[in-house]
Amino acid sequence: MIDSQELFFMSLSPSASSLDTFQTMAQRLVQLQRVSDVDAFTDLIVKREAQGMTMIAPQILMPHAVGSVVLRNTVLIGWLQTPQHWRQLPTIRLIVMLATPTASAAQTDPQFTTLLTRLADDEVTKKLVKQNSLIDVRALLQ
Amino acid sequence: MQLNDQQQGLIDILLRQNDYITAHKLSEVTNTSTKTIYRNVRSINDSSESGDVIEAVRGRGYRLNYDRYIYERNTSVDNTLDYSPIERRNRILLELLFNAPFDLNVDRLYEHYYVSETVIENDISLMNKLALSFGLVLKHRYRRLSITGPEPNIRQAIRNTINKGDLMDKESIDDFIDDFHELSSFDERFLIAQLEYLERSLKLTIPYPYNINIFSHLYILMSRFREGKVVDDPEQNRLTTDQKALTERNPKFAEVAREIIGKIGRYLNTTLPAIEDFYLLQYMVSMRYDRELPSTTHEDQLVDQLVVFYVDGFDFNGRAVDRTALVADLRNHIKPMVNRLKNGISVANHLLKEIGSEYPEELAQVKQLSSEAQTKFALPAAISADESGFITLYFAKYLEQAKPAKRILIMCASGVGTSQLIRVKVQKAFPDLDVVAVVSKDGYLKHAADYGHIDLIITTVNVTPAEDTSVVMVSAMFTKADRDQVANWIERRDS
Repeated sequence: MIDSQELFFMSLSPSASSLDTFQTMAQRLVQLQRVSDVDAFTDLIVKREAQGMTMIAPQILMPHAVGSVVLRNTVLIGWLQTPQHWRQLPTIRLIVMLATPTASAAQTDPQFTTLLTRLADDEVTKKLVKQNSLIDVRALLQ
Repeated sequence: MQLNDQQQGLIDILLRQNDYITAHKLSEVTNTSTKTIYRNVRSINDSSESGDVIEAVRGRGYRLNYDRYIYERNTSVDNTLDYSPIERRNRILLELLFNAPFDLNVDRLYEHYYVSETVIENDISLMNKLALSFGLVLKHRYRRLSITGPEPNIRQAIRNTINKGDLMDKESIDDFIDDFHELSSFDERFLIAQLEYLERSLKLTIPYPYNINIFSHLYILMSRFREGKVVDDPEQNRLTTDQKALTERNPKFAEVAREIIGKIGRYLNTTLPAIEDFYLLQYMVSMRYDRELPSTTHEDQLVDQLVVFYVDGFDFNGRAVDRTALVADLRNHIKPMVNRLKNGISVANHLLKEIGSEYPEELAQVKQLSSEAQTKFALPAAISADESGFITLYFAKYLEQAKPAKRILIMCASGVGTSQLIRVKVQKAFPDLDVVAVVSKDGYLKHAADYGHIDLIITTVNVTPAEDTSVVMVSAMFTKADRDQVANWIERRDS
């Protein structure tokens, strides 16, 4: 069971670019008081994506940011109501956004490890992208 | 060429060495001074009649002249004067045992050993203790010695005495035969034919040292009956319930044992008691064969427990050993070993000394486990050092095969998220790899030395690693293509 204090879900409307969606998710993290600055956080996410795509399974992206702008370890899962075809990216259905103040905070977090172990299972990721509602996605990961 | 332990140790080191080795290095390995090395080399060479066995080259050190060594070893004269007190007593005890219950003259027994009366008195006192330990009595009357007691005890004493001396310390039946000059070539051929018949009937090969064990058993049997000294005791010749049960559990073995004993009886022109079939059967179920035989005994549970006890109790020092294969292999040895313990059969391990010098820690561990096992499983007899030596060889084999685990770093730009996910996937796909850490590229570049020697970095970002470290670039998805890349790297590294 993953602690609901660290794991959040949101439904995402179609957007023109991945940047727009990343910003939407960053705003949600600020609302949850997990991140202190939308722009600074989005900047970290975009810079990481520029170094190499974080696609962990077909249709699943795992953008992540490490920095002091993050107040505590958090995972925000964004479910796109319709699969998106953003420029330079393959089709995306699920965004698993990780936020952590330091790398070691993430590496020693048992909640992160539990979630990542589940996402390392190809059967789980295949099922995740086939779900028709955010509730079903949540049921699979919680 | 007669060598003491220190000199033999020196020869053993040189035998393993292909190239020259300096006196300094030899002194380190043997934990002696270089002076001792010089003295031992000189002494070894002086005792050789064919020239220097150990050759020296200035600036390079020593090397064994293998041809001369073999020549010297094979031409050494076996002189009764060279027997140690233990060997002397064992030889005399054997002569008395073979001759039991009849007596032999003390002067005739000792005529070749040239020892004083005091030494003889001391020998008799020690042999008496040995005889008592086998439930036998050594009688000394009017300068004549004899041993009396039940036939199974006499055989057991003969077997143990043979094993204790260097008589069983042979690498082949030919060596064994060489030491028993009284064995005629007819007997030798007849006994070898019986061993071959046994192998043919059971469609298997009897490996060393069990072939020697069974050969010596049959040889003892023949010697005892030919001299006509086996007391016909109907009480002793009756099978106990346990003995009957063992016979019934192994019908094919029992049939072959009966046939061979029948042939030996005809060869000796006598009828051997049925208990001899059982004695031979005991040996047959106590050997390790070249292939797994159908399970024949109810001791299987004990065998499994013992194997697990040894494998779980052994400290592999973090080496990734193929436990499944080791368990299967060891089981094939432990199963007949349990039968040997039950039947009072011992095997000689002529490699024990070498095993001790090559794998001292492993042997010590196994000996300790053997001793604990005897108490824990209430075994009928102690597991001897020879048996522990054999068991050690199994552990040594698998330790040699096990290569140290390859040290891996998993890297991405931040050391978070994708790299953590890849770690899970790598550990699942390659459980033998040692994933030292998940790192960010920056973290690695700043603190590379902190991770020690790293064989491979699996990374989602470009990196220039330290010397001697390989890099495999993978996607964050760690797909089958990525797994194949890592697998190929492992294959290249292992080849």
